[in-house]
Amino acid sequence: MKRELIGPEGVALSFPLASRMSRAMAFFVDIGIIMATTGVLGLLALLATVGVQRLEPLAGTLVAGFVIRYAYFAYFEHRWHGSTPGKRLFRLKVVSRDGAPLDGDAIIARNMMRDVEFFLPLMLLAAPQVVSGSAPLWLAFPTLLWIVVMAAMPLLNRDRARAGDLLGNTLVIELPRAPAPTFDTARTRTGSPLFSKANLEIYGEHELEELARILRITKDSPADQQPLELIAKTIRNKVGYDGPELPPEEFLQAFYTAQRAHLEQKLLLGYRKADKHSA
Amino acid sequence: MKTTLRSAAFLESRAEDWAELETLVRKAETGGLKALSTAQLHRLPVLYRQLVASLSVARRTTMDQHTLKYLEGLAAEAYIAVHGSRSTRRGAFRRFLFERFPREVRAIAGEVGLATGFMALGVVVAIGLMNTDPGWYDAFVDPGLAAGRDPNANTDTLREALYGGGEMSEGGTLSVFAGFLFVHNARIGLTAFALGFAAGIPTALLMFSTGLMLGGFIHLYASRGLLFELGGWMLPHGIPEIGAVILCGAAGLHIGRQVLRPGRLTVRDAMVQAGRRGSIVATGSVALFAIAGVIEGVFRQVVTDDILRYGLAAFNGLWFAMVFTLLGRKRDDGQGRP
Repeated sequence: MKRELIGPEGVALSFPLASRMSRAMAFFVDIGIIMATTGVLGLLALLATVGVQRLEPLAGTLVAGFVIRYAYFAYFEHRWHGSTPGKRLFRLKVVSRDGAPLDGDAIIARNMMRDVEFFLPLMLLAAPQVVSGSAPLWLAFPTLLWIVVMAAMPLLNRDRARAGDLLGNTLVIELPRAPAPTFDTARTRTGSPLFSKANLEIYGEHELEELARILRITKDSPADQQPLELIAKTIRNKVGYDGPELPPEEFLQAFYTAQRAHLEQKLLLGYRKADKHSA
Repeated sequence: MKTTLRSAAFLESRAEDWAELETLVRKAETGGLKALSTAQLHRLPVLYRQLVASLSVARRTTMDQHTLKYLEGLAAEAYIAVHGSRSTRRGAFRRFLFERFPREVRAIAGEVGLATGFMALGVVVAIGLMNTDPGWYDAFVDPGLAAGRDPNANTDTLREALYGGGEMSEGGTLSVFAGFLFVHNARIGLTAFALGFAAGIPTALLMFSTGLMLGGFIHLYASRGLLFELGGWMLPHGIPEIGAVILCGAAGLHIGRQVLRPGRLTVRDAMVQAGRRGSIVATGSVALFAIAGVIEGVFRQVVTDDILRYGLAAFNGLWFAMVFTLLGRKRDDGQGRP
């Protein structure tokens, strides 16, 4: 799935939306790091507390645990420009929906919600009395509803946005990767033109693209046999070609170049022919 | 006779630049912008803008979808490298705390009033109900939090609770207490904010129930003639702490209000705007909770003199009021935003 962002240049660019699975995995990696760090700190503090016979190290860890938990995501998304260690592992990135650079406000907003989206429901499930105190039972239903809505949020909208994404106006995308370029599909052709204008009025852009695809496969993986002869024959008959007989591949290459030059020429004058059915 | 494709010529003439951009972008992706030399850093945006311009042309003119896909992909990659990063000015933290935070608080002054109102309502209701039947106390104050300070306790015990705790200063216990209070209160505050997402209703309830608890305490101590002493105990840390709770609540209510009455914006845009503003207020409040935690965990336990306590309360009230009325009036946060 793709999402378009309009960058500051005013041109829409499309990005692959991150899958829910990889987002969940990235999240669990990050949570693992948070828990491990907090655990190690706690252990060190415990040793220090025993060592100096004072409780200050413990107090430090208490606060540090809080800071790590709340600041971890915001810190990394700020420093690593929309990425955290977990996200990096799965090649994910947070971007602003409006196409502008991701700013600090958005990062804070989207990570503030994390606690309510994940930790609070988790605690409610594990130990309801800690969160709600002596709250009456009728509160349990709205709470349950809340948990369900929050948990299902990324499943419910097409942007796979969680509440924090909604609030921060952000999207999580997969890092785009450009395919390897090829610039060699029959660029130029010398010699007298093989095709008349009438020959080239039949097909449109769609057929041209299909032909390009077949030629590319023939070139890139010769093992993958394409029915070139059949295609060449079909095209010859369809366009009414009456020039010299050529080997199938050479004919198709020549036809591709001529057809594309023709369509581009027409485009220059403002005519676009999508496929063979359009006028 | 030579047949040349215009589009191919167009693409070919730029292929070299794109290859250069590709190497820069891949380098930046693995090592960050730091991996680029100064010259490369200057090249990157230039090449990116050229590519975007070429992409617009190619979309209209090229018949070669494969090349177009390459350009689309490369442009997306380069966008991340160029716009995905943003330099941060020095002093961002200071500016956040002393300029943006007070400014955003002023911007949601109405909701601050509303949150204060909900809390005050809780206080009034609690006092009113306890006037008719002191037994209501148990409904307002969590027994775990009350720790024996309930209507059945005798006056001396209640007084003791206000002045005791000094013995905890041994061995750094107070620091743990302060840390605990900070973490506990900050979490409540942040929850109050985030719950505003549900149209602000849970936030309003949370403000109200906090008010009930406060009212319960006030009534209990007032009924024993200990109101003045309670003030000395509560006000020094209460000003930043209850203030922060109210601010977090106001931030939550702001979201709720914007969602219910988005005005000319779409609900989504309104929520985004409110969410950003609210999260700044809530994050700033964490600093207030930290201050309150230290006062509550250490100062309150060590200083038992009423005059000193009221002195600190007055001092806290003063800076609290000054921060939110005076700071951040100058409109420059380096982001070109008012």
